[in-house]
Amino acid sequence: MSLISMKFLLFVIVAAVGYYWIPKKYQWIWLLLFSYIYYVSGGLKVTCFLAFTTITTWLAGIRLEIIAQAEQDKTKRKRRKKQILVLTLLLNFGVLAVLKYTNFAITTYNLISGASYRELSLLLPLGISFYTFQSMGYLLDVYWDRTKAEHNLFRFALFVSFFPQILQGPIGRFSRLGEQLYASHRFDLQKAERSLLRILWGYFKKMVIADNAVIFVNAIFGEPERYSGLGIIAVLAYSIQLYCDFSGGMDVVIGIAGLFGIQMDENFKRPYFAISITDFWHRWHITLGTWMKDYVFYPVSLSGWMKHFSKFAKKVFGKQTGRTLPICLANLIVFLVVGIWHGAAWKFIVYGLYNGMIIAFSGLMAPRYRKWKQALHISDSNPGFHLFQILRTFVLVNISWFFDRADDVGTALRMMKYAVTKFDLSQLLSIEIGEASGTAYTLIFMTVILVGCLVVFVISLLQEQGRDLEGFYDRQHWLIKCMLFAGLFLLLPALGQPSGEAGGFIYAQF
Amino acid sequence: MRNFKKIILPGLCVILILAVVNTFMNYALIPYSYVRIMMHQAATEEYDTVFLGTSHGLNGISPKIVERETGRSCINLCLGGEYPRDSYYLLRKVCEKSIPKRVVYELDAGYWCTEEGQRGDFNRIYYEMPWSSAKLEYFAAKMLELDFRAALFPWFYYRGQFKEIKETIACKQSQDYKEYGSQAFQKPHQGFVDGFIKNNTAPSDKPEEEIELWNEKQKNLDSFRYFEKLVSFCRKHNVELVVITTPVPQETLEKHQKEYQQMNAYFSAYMRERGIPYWNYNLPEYKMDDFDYSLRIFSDYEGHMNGDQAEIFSLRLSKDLNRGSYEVEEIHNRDDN
Repeated sequence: MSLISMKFLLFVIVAAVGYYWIPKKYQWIWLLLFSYIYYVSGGLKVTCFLAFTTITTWLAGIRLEIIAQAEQDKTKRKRRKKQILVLTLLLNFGVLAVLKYTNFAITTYNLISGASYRELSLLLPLGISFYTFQSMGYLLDVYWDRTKAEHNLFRFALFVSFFPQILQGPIGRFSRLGEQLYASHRFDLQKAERSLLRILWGYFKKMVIADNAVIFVNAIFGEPERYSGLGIIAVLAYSIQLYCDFSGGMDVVIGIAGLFGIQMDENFKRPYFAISITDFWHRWHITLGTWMKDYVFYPVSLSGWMKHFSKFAKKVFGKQTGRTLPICLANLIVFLVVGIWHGAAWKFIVYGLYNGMIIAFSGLMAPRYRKWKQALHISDSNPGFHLFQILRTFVLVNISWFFDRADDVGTALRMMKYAVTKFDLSQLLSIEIGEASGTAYTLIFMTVILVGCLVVFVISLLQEQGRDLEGFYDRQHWLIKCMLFAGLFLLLPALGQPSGEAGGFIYAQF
Repeated sequence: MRNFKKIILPGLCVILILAVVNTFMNYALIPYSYVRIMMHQAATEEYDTVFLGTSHGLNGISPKIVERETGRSCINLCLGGEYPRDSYYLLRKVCEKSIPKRVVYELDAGYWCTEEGQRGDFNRIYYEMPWSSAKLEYFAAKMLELDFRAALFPWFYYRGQFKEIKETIACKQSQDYKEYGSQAFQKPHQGFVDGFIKNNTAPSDKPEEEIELWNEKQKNLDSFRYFEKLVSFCRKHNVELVVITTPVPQETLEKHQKEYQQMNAYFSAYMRERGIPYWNYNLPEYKMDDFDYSLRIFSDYEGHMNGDQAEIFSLRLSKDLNRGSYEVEEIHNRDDN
């Protein structure tokens, strides 16, 4: 059930009305019921995978808790807990790996060995990357005694399957989300109003900006030789599309959860205002970033072998570099995983490593940067320098988008080369919007994208400056609010593109 | 009282603004279409024979000729973008007025192996269909799956026609529109005449185009599901069902011989299994002597007929319908053997 379908809209209305109509103690059961209806509508077979992850993780969580309470011997306890953890991680990540990466492994093997094994036709359950990461995060939290195990299977099933988030995140934490899911909620008009506005705002970003930008992105990335002069435009359009698509989807998801009184973790914090790649990853897909930090970066950084490596590095490279190198290595590993998570292709691995290498390099160079800034009398609070940092980061991020969007690494590199050597803006007006209309609407569509971006930019800037936009909205007369709602709603068909033809939400395919 | 002021009043206000703007936009942006005439006729008149199918049927079957030759009243409800799902609900709509004696389904295999799109006339079927239980069921079966803008704002697909607002409004205020007339569709190269699209294209060379060919591996299961529903519906109401495939240019047939042969083999067996007569007018035994199959005569490479071809084809179809389905099948089988 697509987030933009009429069916989904009615589904949400029925779910939300019923949620406040039934006795409060049954609210979480109502949510579980609707979450499974939502998932089963995508196919019964794929639901088996969701049920498998739910049951194995729930059982493992309880088992971990029992061992922690019953086993007196510390070493034995640690070993048994580890066995349960590793087994469950292997089972669940194994399923994810087999379904998502088998064909990638086959094609890579064929390429290297010259063999011709056929690709398998495998099911890819909706949101498998998201719910697997969320469940494994819970399990690791139980393992590290950060959270208590959930004893009720159905309550745990709701945490894994909560329908607004299962398709494209955000990746929730049990400690924050669980409590809210099981609590009873009273209807709060102000929250509901804000949630509805957020849903409309999300649809606006997706349908009006992202779906218009995708026309240019697909045209140029689809024929990089024909539009060789538009490499820069292609990547800029893609950066607009990706941000408005993903963050728009998040606004819809968070808004829908808000209708049920549930506040989900934010996944975006104005990423294009970031002043470094590290800062960018603190603002872009935040829940994936924090998941990686908590469950990959820290365990790797604090592992025994990393301590040995740290000692070795200090001996060879000196104290300063020796201290930084293990962190750089941990970052590289994290971003390798991020790349693999993004998809089964070499270009995603390059994309991940590119980010990891910049962060690692920045870490190694940090002392020198500080010295240079001192020598040049540049202060971090200098507005000019701040703007320079934002632009520099934006350029670096855009380079990574070439790898993310192009068909393969070779095409990405070729397009980057063309972007510098063959820049020709005049090709832009030759992009055809549709078979029938040709280029008649090209300029109009570009204007829609630019005006849409300007609106998003102004709102983001005000938010970045700490202005209370929600408070400003609350203070308005109800008639103005009505006009805003109706106006925003009407802009979706007036200026938007059919999202189905634009390929739906990008992250809903993960 | 508090609920009224805080929730109900603003809610109603938003709905009112949306309804007013929506009504105006529908009126101003959606041009007059022959689908409106078809729907009006389907809802107000009784018919013995109903033609369902795709643009090939719309361009190739003259209901007036078939009516004259068979002595039975006919309506052509074939449309570009009409999948079996749409055909099924169109038939349901017709049957709300009266049950026809015969349904002729024009089969274009491309509609059985591609995803249902969001273009063509399909949105018009929903938009122009008068409110009834068939429309509600159609909404649940088709529109629910679509982008919510397609269902809530029918003008969504016509938003690019803002330059023609003046003409559209003028047309909708004309007597012709109010009386479900077809004057608005009379153009030099094409017109909606006697209940079908009559092409007046002069013979000329036609460029090769990409066409949707039969591919068994990509079967659209929904198309098969809704055709089965159509079959069951016809059986339940004792309606005779005949399936046909209209002729395509010889050049197209030769170029894609393999796919057309596979299509014929598949659907012949499929229809035979269900006891449904299937007349494929591209097979040698169904060929018409007085029908020019050359690409120059057809309107396009895909095989939309021109007016003269449609006349000849409609006469032949009427003859076959008069013979009765079993007799035509027998001729076909005899030629086969």
